[in-house]
This record gives sequence, C-alpha cells and structure tokens, in this order.
Amino acid sequence: MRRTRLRSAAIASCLLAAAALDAARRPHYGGTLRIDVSGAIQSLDAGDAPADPLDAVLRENIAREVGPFRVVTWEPMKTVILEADESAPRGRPYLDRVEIHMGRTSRDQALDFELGKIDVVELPLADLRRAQQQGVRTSASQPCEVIALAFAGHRGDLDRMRQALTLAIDRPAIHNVLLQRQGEISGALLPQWLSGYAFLFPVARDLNKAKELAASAAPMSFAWDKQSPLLRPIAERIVVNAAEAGIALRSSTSPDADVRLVILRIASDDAGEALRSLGGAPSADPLKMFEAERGLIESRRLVPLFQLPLAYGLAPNVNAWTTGPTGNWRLEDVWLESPKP
Amino acid sequence: MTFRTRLLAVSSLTVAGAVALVSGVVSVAARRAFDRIAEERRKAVVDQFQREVESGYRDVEQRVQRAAFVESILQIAVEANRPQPDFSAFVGEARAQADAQALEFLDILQPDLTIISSASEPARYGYRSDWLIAPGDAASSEPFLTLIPTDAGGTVAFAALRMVSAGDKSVLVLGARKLDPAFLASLGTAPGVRPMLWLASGAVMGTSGPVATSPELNRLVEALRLTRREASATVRWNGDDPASAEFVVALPLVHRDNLLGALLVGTSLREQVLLERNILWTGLGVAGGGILLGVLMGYWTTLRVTRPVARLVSGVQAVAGGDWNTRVDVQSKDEIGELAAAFNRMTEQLIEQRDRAIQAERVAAWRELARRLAHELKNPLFPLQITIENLQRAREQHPQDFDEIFRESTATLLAELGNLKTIVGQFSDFAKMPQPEFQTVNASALVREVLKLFEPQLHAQFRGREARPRIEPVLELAESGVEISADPLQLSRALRNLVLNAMDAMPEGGTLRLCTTAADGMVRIEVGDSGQGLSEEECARLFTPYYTTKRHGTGLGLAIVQSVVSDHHGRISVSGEPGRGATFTIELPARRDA
Repeated sequence: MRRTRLRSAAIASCLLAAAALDAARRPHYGGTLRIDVSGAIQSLDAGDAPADPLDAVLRENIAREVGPFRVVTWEPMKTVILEADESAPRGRPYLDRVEIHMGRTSRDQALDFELGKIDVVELPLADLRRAQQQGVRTSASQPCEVIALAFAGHRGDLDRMRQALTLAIDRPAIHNVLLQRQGEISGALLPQWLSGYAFLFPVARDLNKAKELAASAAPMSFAWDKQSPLLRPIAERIVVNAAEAGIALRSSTSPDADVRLVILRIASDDAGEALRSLGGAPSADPLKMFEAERGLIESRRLVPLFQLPLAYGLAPNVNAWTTGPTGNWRLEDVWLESPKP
Repeated sequence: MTFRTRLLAVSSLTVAGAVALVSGVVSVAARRAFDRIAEERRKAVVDQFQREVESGYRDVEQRVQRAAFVESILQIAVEANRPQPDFSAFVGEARAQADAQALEFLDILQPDLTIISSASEPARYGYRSDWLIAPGDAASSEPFLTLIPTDAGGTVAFAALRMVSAGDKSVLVLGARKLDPAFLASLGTAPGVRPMLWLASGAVMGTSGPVATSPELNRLVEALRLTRREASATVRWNGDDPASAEFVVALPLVHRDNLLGALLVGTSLREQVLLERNILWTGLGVAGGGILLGVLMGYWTTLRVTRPVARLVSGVQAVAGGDWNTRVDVQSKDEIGELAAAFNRMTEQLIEQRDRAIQAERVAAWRELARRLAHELKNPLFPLQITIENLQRAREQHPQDFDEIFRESTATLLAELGNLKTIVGQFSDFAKMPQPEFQTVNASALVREVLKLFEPQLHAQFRGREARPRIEPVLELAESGVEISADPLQLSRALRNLVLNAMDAMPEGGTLRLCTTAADGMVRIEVGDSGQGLSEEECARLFTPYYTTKRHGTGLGLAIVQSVVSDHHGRISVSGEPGRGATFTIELPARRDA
C-alpha cells in the first residue's frame, strides 16, 4: 500500500513537472520582443518610401504589423514601439509589445545579441554559417534580394565592357567564400523559386573571352555603397576579377559612375508582381515572362550576380519566428518562452 | 704719395692682412671643427638607424611568429589535409590575426602561394600572392625585405614567413610591416635629423608624407642604383637657401639583389650653416672693426712718427726758402730726434757761416771798393801830379813857355778833374738809387725813346777826328701786350746803359738789335749786339759790382741795371759766345689789365 502510494506520488510529480514543462512550451501571451535592425525609416507615409532595400523591408514589415499591433511610440530613424491590439480582427497577438531599434550596425547588433539585450538581430550572410556552427538559432528567408551590376553612361564600348565584366567575375568564388554559400548564383532578376527559369540565364566565367573584349579599354568608374558590409567585399573581389581580365575599375562615389553594384529587392512573392515592381512587363506565359525579364535586364543594362536571402539571429526564448519568402515578418505568431523555473 | 700716406698705407695693409689672415684661419678651423662634429653625429645617427632597421626586422619576425602559431591557423592547416579543403570559412582569419598582432599586411597562403586569406586585400583569396618573395625566403626563418604591390605602385616592407604544418600539409603565414611615414616617425630621431624613405618607384616620403625631390637627391639615388652601397650627398631642398641643406646618407634596402628603396637619413645643416654664417659675419665684423681700428691706430702712429719728419721737412723748406733761423722742435730721443738736433745744429752752423761769409764779403767789398777807388782815383791823380810837376818845372826851367804850358796843363787838369767827378758821380749814383715810381709804361715806346737818344751817335760818321764805323739799329718791337708797370726814368737809364755797352762792344761797327715781346704774362726786352761776344765765365760774373770787361769801366753800369730790374720785380740775363755778340734780356711782369 505504502509502495503504491509512493509510486502514485512520483507519478504525480512527474506529471506535474511535465505539465509545467508543457505549459512553458506552449504559446502564451505577454512579453516584449526586442528587434535590432540596420534599416531606419522616417515614417510610414506612402510618399516616404525609402530607396534602400533594407529600409524598404523594414517599412513593409512595420506597416504589415500595424494590423495586429498599433504604434505607441515612434522616434523617427531610431525606435518604434508596437503594442498588441486587443481588438485585432484575427485576434490579439501573443506579444504585448515589440520594440524595434533602427539604424543599428552589425557590430551593435552582435553586441546587443551577445549581451542578451535583444531577441532578434539581422545576420550578415557571411556570418550565418559561423553563427549556426556556434549554436545560434537562425532564420532565413527565400532569396529575395538581387545583387547586380548596373551599367550607365554613354561610353561607346559600354555593352562590350558589360559583357567583358560579366564574363570576368568569378561568381562561385564570391558565393563560396564571401557569401558563405548563402543564396544563389544567378544571372536572373527573379529568383529560381519565384520564376522557375532563372537557371536559363548564363553565369559561366570566361576569362579569356573577357580579356579579348576588354583589350585596351579605358578604365571604368565603379561605385557601391561604401557603408554596406555586404557589398564592400563583393565589390573588391569584382575589382580583382576585373583586373585579372585587364579591366581597370576605379572606385567612385559618384551616382553617375560607369558601373554600380546595387541590391534590388524582390518585393512580392508573385513573379508577375515582382517583375512589375522591377520595371518589367509580366505575363502569364512563362516563356514571355522569361523574354520580358531578359528584355528588362538588357534595357536596364543590368548584370544580376546573386540572389540572397535575409537572415536573422534569434534568441533562445523566441518561438514561432517565421520569415516570409520576401523577408517579411509574421509577428502575430511569435511568442516568447518564459524563463525556466 | 707722401711718406705719411705710404706709411699709413703700409700699416693699414699690414693690420688688414693680419686681421684677415686670423679671421680666415679661425673661420676655416671652426668650419673643420663643425664638419668633424657633424660627421661624428651623422655616424652615430646612421648607426642608430641601422639598429632601428634591424629592430624592425626582429619586430616583424616576432609578430608573424605569434600570428602563425595560433589555433585558427592550425585549423587551416588541418583543413588543408582534407581531400577537398574548404578554406572559405577562414577568409577573415588573416584580418583577425593582423589586427591581433598589429601587422599591416598578413596573408595566409597555401604552399604554392595561393592566398587563403589576406588582411590587406581580402578580395584576393584564391589568387597567388604577388609580394616579392624569393624562393629562398620560404625556406629561411630570417626576416627579409619585400615589395608589396599597392595602388600607389608598391610599398617596401619588413616581412617574415612562417610555415604551420598539420599532417602532411602546411600553410604559410606571411606578415609584413611597411616602411611608411608612421614607421619613419617611430624611429627615434634627434633634433635636426630627418628620416626619409626613397622607393624604387621614385617617390620620397618623410615622416609627414611625400617629400619633394631635388636634383642632388636624384644624383644620390642614381649613385645608389649603380653601387647599391651606402652613399651620401649634401642636398639643398631650396635652391636659394643654403640653410635648407641637409647631409643625406642613403642606406640601401636590398632584397636578394633587388634594390627596393633606401632609407635616407637627413641631417640638417641649418644650424651648422647658420653658425658658420654667424661666425663668418662675426669674423667679418671683427675684421672690419680691427681693420678700422688698425687704420685709426696706424693713422695716429703715422701722425706721431711723421710729425717730427714733417717738421723737419718744413724746416728744410724754410731754410731752402732763405729762412735760416728756422728751428725744428722735436723732443723725442730717437733717430728722428737726433736728426732734428743735427738739423738745428746744421742751421746754426749755416747762419754762422753765412754771417762769416757776409762779414768776409763786406770786408772783401770794402777792399774791392777801396781798391777800385784807389785805382780809379789814382789814374786821374797821376796826370794831375805830373801836370802840376810840369807846371812847376816849366816855371823854373822854361818861364817863356809857361803860359803855353799853363794853358795846356790847366786843360789837362780840368779834364782829369772831370774824370774824377764822373767817377765820384757814378759811385754816388750807385749808392743812392732811389725807389722806383711805378706807372704804366709801353716797353716798345720806351725802347724807341732810348734809341732816339742815341740817334746822333749812331748817325755820326766820325768820332773825333777818326771815322766812326757804322752801327745799324734793328728794331723788332711788339705793338701790343707790352705794357708794364715801371719807373720810366730808371728803366730808361738801365736801357741806356745796355745800349751804351752794346755800342762799346762794337768798336768796328755792327748791328744793334732791340726787341720786345710778350709771352706768359711777361714782357721781354732784348738788347743785342754783334760785337766780340762774351765767354761763359764773363757771362757768369758780368753783373758782379765793379766787374768790367772794359778798360776804363767802373763795373757799376750792369750792377745798376740789375738793381733797377730787380726793383721792378724782373730778371736780367745775358747770353753770348765769343765772336758772336751778346744779348741782354730783361723780363718784367706784364700789367694784368693790359
């Protein structure tokens, strides 16, 4: 009898512990989610659309979350605080508050994350693999950004030089080392997951052909966002590759440079919409979509190089964080795990 | 040039030369001393810099050693052992180790020098390193110099290479620290010492950036290129300013026969130049002052030395001018004083001798006068005595002829008495020559008047009962410019005497030449004859009183002429030769307003 009673107590204790553990792992309401982002926006006004893709992503994300949340504090370019909307149509979100700290550099974000001050940070793609190796929880979107070269100006040999530079760039080396194999090598504007035909755009390197095309060519001015930790190493590698082909790229800060390294955003998870947002004419026919995209690349004198995802580092207590294919947040599903008893 | 000037010049030149010599010697000695000190200083600085360079090698070697032997590099070496090594995760490792070891350049390389990771050029992964690395560098543990390509053309750097092995594979860690303005600034330098770096590309850098080159530096670099040994030269950075000069020692930076650059150690010559310039100017100032002082002292000394000489000169000139009473007052006891004393004794003796001579001359003159008087008076007295004795004898012995004899004797007596009177009159005239009363006189007119007085005699054909030889007067008279200031009576008398002498000199007749001319402010009157002439001795003694060439002359005529001419501030001279006549020339001052 006594043994039976003891066994029952033990089972009850186990059940209680399991119940407590289960309760901790189940979504529950409350808590403040703190997010560091590098982007910074002034407001959500329609006429205030930022040019920077990261700023644009941030703006879209905040705007999207205004549904289940409402803005209680807005310090332009610095902090946004959202509070759960109790009367949201799809129900109250789990989180009470969301603090978004804008304009934080990669270093600031890494420090804040390391010190536990922040729950969600942006992760540079070059650090993604190392972060995963260090056990950091990460979340990455589908490739939703395109790194491309944009040619401009009135050089007589611009098309020839565009072709030479395209053939000179060693995309795999950049993808393997600088991008740590994140994203995709691509010669298309729309990612493969979105269009299905991206692989048709050539990406092969032909140094000898590049040298032939670039023979005795004048130097070209080359501009990129000097503040971007993503673009800087890629641009430097492109300069090295170009020099190997005999193309002299001179660093420039002018917006009228002959070549610019840019990031283009895939703003929609619909191929047609995405192509339209980039300036192309969508079609329901995949072949016509392909032609339209190729025409868009030619007309804008673009050379797409890589399709890149957006990646985030997550604190251990963040649950149900998901990122949409275009990098959009879904904060209404996120809940914070309570500290363990 | 006077003795005083010569003495002053000699003393001044002596002082100036001595001062200049001393200044020059001091200047040269100072310059040599400065050069020696500067050379020793430069040597010390160069030694220090060589030690600093050696220290730079060792520093890089240690840093690369520390960077190579860390866990992450070992992981790379381990990764190299995999069949398909993936170095992509290590692309930032070089930067991390470079930051940790404060190295400007650090590359992690595969054994074939393919870059795994590069701190300075992270984008060059996968490419071969283009640093200047000789085959032996990888095998050696010694640091070396290398040339790292840059956008600016390349930079020289201290480099060291370390191999990290794991299993069968290894990786290389190549680190470097460039020789740049920061490195130059890190070198401990003394004031006035400037380290610079010349690169084979031609650029010259100082501690604060690029340095403009100069022709001297280019020549130095050329010498360095040829010899690849330490060279030196004086480089004037600003051509106009010697104080901008530096003594530059070039220490070649060579890596396996490749001249990569040179460490230039510039020692400013500014202080030395300024000091030498200061010494030069001080020397010039002292020399100038010394010379000026020397000249003044020389002048003072010269004055002191030459003042007695000048007094002696003045005394001698005074004596020469007739002032025999001159005395030279020199108190010194030296040779000049003895000379002055001798001079004073000499003048005293001269005065004594002159007085004695005057006394003797007076005695002689009186004797001559007495002799002349006795002679002149004796001549008439003897006939008087004879005549009177004849009268007495005739009265006693021939009374019948007494009357006749008496008449003849009295005539003779009267004649002789007339002679005596004439003689006495001449002596009287000579003794009482009056002072001339000057007035403007035309010399030519005066000569005409004098000649007119002698016209009867010149035109007379007989003298007594004898026929008189013809004397032809010739006049050559200037019509103008012959006005003189003279006493016409005395001058007429003098001319009459000369005309009379001329006529007496031509007993056989001849030509009497009278001439007046004006030249050089003087009026010249010449009275010439074509008579028997005069010897040189006669010419010399002719104006001596009581000297005469005539049998019955008193010797006072020409003395009177000379006295008159002298009273008229003129001169008289005579010229002639025996047998060719004689010419007396009177020169008198012309009137200035004529």
